[in-house]
Amino acid sequence: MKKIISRVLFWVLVIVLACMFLVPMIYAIYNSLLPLDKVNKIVSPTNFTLQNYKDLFTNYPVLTWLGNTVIVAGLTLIFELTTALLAGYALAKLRFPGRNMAFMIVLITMMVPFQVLLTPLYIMISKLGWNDTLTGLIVPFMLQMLYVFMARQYYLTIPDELIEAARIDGYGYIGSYFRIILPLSKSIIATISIFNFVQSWNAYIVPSTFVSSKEKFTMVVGLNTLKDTYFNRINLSMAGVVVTCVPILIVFLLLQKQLIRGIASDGIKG
Amino acid sequence: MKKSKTKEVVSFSEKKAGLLFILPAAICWVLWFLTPFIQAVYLSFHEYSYLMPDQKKFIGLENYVQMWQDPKFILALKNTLLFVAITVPVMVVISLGLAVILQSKFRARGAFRTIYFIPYTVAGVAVATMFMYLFVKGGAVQVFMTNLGFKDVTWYADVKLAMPFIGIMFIWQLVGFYMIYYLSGMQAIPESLYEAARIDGASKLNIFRYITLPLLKSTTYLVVIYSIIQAFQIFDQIAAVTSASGGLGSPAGATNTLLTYFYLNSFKYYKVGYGCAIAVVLFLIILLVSLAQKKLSGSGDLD
Repeated sequence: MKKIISRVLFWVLVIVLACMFLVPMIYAIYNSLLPLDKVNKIVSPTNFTLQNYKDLFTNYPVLTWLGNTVIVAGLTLIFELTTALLAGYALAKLRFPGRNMAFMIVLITMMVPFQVLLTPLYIMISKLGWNDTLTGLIVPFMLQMLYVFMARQYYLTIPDELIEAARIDGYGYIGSYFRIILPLSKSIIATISIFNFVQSWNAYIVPSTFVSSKEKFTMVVGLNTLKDTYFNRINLSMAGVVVTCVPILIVFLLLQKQLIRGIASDGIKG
Repeated sequence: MKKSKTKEVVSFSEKKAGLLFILPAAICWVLWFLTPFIQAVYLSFHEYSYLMPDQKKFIGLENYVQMWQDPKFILALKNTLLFVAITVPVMVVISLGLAVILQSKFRARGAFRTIYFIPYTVAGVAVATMFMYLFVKGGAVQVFMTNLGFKDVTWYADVKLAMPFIGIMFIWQLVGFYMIYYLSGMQAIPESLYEAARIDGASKLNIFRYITLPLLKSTTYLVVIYSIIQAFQIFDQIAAVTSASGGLGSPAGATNTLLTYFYLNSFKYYKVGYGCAIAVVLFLIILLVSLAQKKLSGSGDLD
């Protein structure tokens, strides 16, 4: 009997906690489907309408915002992956002069809060004529030391014999990386990708500072102006929230194993 | 770092390959990290505005001296420290609790882990938007609170409640993330220890207290350090909550943190040099926290 009670209590606890995390999102989806006179009330699903989404997509350049976000997130990812994988491999497996110093630099750079660079970057971007362009959101962010560090830690786990074998087979140092090691890098690529995607999809401080015209907004910046302009239209704002969150949620559900393993593996800053 | 003791001859091509591989990262680092970092420190010793870039004036340490006489800065510093001091312990306790729950084997455990983790993937601005409607006067949470006898107020417009409101969002979003740390820390504890304790007749509470908790020390350590750093850097939620009303820091500076006050000075008041000085102070605080971590956890931890 005691066992049954504690089992029931356990399930109540687990479910109540799940509700705490899910309710805000269910609340958002629910209200996004209702006409304004029905919001915040419990009504039957027959009242559901897609009108808010229609309004959202017709009155706002939401498709442009989504497109901008995909472009920025996608290109940043390609660049950051390239710099991180190559540098990470060199730091783990190739002996070159200054390697220890380079690794020290990686560690020190990771300790600097990014916001310190915000003002100088803004000045640099303006001088280059990149303010209010997507270029300004991509080019300065082609390197992230955290990912270099993660790639290095990953490559340290690859046995040297593998590289030696590739060398014996006649590959050079560069050839053996691209032919043998890179195909073995799928899991670290997936981990960096999902981290980076979550980060750049949700970024606010940089896009809201470097970009000012509406058609250059990313989705998150667009959502913020939407909420500010029509705060009394909760159903429209919530439709905006849903449109912002659904793409990332899909990516997360597909790649969650990599994300969770990445966090768990070697204590990564979020 | 694993280093073979026997010194092999480093061939020219390995050297060259290494330098070539590191080159893209090195170029980006010099251009987009080192240059702006030096400039930030340089500007912090100057009076500078984007509007009049030619009238840059060297003023030495004045920006750093001035901030201690600036009541707005003092308030922002207080807010930040209080925010860190309150959210971090709460974060540690809740994320550990969630991990303990999910550690016991039960059906659909994986699904619950995913659910607890989902908020981490939601944009700070989206979180703020959802929570604003829930905590506004007459909003869903407020209806619930008034039923419990609390006053019906808009949390983010109330000087006393605005910062706790930010804290609630911060914790809601990140506990699932830190729970993962604890879960992986718990996985590393050998099952044999638990078995031995059970054979000795130890109660569940004692097992937790004398086995699980001490062996999670290094995990707790990481969680504390990382959540301190993240709490110092909270921005998006504050910006989203205050952008509609009085701007960053509203109401009455109650939500100003070091970071938002830096932002206000740099991009709203055009006191760029002063803003940079505040950013440098923030950097020094975070550097101290990180160095404390490196020192306490021992340098061997890095490799």
